[in-house]
Order: sequence, then C-alpha cells, then structure tokens
Amino acid sequence: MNLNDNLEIPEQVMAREVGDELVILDLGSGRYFGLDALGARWWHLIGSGKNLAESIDVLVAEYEVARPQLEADLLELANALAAHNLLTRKSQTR
Amino acid sequence: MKSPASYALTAYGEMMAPTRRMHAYADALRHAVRPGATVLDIGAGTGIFSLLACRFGAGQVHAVEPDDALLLASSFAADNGCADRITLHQRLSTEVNLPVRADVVVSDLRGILPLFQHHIPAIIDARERLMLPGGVLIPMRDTLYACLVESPEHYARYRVPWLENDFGLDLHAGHPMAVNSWRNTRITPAQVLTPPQAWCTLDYRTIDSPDVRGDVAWTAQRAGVAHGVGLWFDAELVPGVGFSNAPGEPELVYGQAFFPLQSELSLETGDRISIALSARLVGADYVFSWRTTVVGVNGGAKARFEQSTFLGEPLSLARLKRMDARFAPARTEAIDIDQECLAMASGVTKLEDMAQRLTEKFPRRFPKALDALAYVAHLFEHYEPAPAPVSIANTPDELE
Repeated sequence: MNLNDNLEIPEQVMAREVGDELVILDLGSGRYFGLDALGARWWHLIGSGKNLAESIDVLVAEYEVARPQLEADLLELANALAAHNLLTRKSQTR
Repeated sequence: MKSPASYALTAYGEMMAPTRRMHAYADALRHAVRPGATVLDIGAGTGIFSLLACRFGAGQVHAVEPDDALLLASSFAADNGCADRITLHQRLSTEVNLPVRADVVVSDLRGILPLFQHHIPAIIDARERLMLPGGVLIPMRDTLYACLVESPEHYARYRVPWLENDFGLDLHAGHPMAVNSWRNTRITPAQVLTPPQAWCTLDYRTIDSPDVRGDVAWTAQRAGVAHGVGLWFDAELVPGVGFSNAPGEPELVYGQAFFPLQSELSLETGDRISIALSARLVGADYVFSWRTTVVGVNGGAKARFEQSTFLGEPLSLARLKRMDARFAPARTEAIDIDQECLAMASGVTKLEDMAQRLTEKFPRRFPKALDALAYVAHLFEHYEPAPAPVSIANTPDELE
C-alpha cells in the first residue's frame, strides 16, 4: 500500500462512534475493532473518498502532528486494517 | 423460573391454536409422512408436530427441543397413544445424533421473520447431517416481501419519547438509535404505500448461508409519505401448501416487521425509490442494514439514508474491550467465588454445603445462606450435561 492508493471500505464493514472512539464491526467475521479519535477522523476521511495522501493533508492541518510520523503511522494502520479485510484498495474491488 | 429467552406456555398455546399456520403444517405433514417414516421435529416445543406425524403414520419421531416445554410432550404422547414412537431429545438439534437419518424434517424456528438467530444454520445442519438425501424439508421455502409503509401511527413510536415527550426532557440522543431499530407490528392494507416486492427467497433445500442481501425498488404510483419499510414472509411448507403473513391476511403468530426510515419521506408520483437491504448473522443475532435512495421525477437526488441495527442499540466500549483477545482479566472476588465452588464439585459435596462455605468465606457477598444456595445452584446449572434422549415408552411412569 502506498500514499496514492485510493481506499475503499468494504460493504460488510460497519462503523459507529462511541464516545471519542470508533468501533468497527466486520459483519463477515463478527469481529469488532477500535480506532482512537484521530483514527476515527481518518476513517471518515477515507470513507468520504479521500486517498491516503489527501487524508494526511487534512489531518496535518487539523492536528499538531509531524507529517513523516503521521504518514508512517497511517500506512501501518491501513496495512493492518487491510490485513483484516476492513479496507481494500479500490483497484482490488470488483 | 422462565428465562426471558424461553417461550411461556401460553405462547406455545398460541402457536398450537388452529390457525392457517397449524392447518398448513398439518396438511404438509399429511402429505409428507409415509407409513413407517422417520420424522425429525426440530424446535418441537410441546411436540405438536411430533404428535401429528404419528397420527399420519410415522414409525419413529425424534422431538428435539432444549426448553422444558418438551416435558409436556411426554404427557401428550402418552395421552395420544404414540408414546412408543416418540423419542425426546432435550437439547439443540446441532447436538443431536440419530440412529437413522430422517425421511422428513419439520421445524418452525422462525421469529417474526425467518432470519432469526440460528434458524438457518440449524436447518442446514439437519439437512446435511440428519436427513436422508432426498428427504422432505418442512418448510420447503420462505419468500420475504417488502413494501413502503405510510403510517404516522407507526412512526410516532420513533419520535416519542425521543423527540417529543410530556415532561420537557431532552431525550434526543436516543432518537438516532431508535430509527435504526425495527419492531414487530401489524401493517394494514391501507398503510401499504407501494406494491409488495419479493426481497429474497430462502429455499431450505439448497440454502448454504444464513446471510441475505438484495434490492427492492419502486416508482411511486401516487403521492404519499413513506415512514418505513414493511417486511413479512410467505411460507411454502410442501408444494402447494403454505400460508401468508401479508398485510390484510388473517393474523398469525409472526406479524410483520417495520423498519423505519431515518426521516419521513414525502413522495410524488414518479419518484424512484430503491432500497438495498441486507441481513447478516453476527454471533447469535442478525444485523439488518437498509440503504434507501430516492430520485425525483426530474432526476435529482431527494434522499439517501444509511441505516443499520448495528447503530440501533447503546454499545458499551468497556464490554467490547473485555472481549478483545488482548484483554487480560484481573483477579476479582467473583472469580474467587466461582473458583471456590468449582473446586468443591466432586459429586460428594452438596449445594447446601457449598452455600454454607460461601457464606463463611464471603459474608459481605452472601449475608444469607439462601442467597448463596441460589448462586451455586445457578452456577452448576450451567455445567449440567443435557439429558440423554428419552424414549417415552421406557420411562418409569410407563412401566408401572
């Protein structure tokens, strides 16, 4: 996965905010996952159609965070979510 | 005491009432049961289908039901002269093994809709493991229908008390959850805004997944206000024998399901409404999701709602975190209590002695011995093995 990838949330993945956090449910496996406040904001940006780079542009403006660190963290998170089928690259979808 | 998950006896009585449902099941069994046939009755309740199967000539019937209601089946079988043909299995069908595979499998494990708890996995398991190839499954097929519903009365229950109440309280935080919840209801023909459309068909002879998704769409034939989506099922038990739960049909035990729209939707003639509806079994229950899109006659988008029962209940983050694979439970008094009880389980120590030990060791938690006795009795009920199958003719009562 790289910063220019367009990402998509699969249909069987649902999310809802609980307090500051985001709870993600994979209807396929019945497993729940959690994201913190920054992760939740990023998830919504991805859900609105932004790619990784565009989402990082928004987050750098909104949070006091160094861009290189954010890029590394979000790439790692995106890969972890993809490994659980919670996120796919658009080119991978039918 | 009845657990909330169990049916009360009166509910079993209602299901056995001579409605079109019962007559249809009786007709289906009459068609399907050949002399000497082996019949498997799943979710037998008090055994009404088992009794009918015997009446129609079954040689052997296996009545499977985890609830204590099955104990009544024993009396009924004796009173109806078929005690020698019915074997009772007080457990889940997925835990049952049969000496021979069944010629006929009869069940009604549905709730308001057939998409209910583990109904479909149980049928798949029985079909593959307990039924003869080519055997008869009753029901054979259910078809689910959907229509748009115009009913301010139904919708009021989603506004009150969340958005309107007599006490001036701000309860709006409950409204987003309320409109993501469906409820059992009765829809009248006058409340049907768009003609029913088949959403999905569950053919139990071939179905291999409990999950369903499908689209329904209409072009509004008249102006009106849509408040929700109505769902119900029509059953085909065997070819040519079934019943309908459509609005206007005589009431059965099932009723119809009402899925509210996020907000009221004023429709004009020619508006195009489409709903993508899915149901996925997650754990013990279904998550229903319904995505509604409305396009006006001029081609412009009028509404788009994304709703799901996943959003329909308060969700405890703390509870979810306790279910996380990385969660490390801390030592608590509750764990100490259970460990104390389990260590005493050897087939010798009686519950009253365990209770006495608990009151001595945990006096703040169990100030009275009766409280401790209730606790240990409940604890060990969880560990009791399911009773062995009972052939009614061989019970002591019958031998006397």
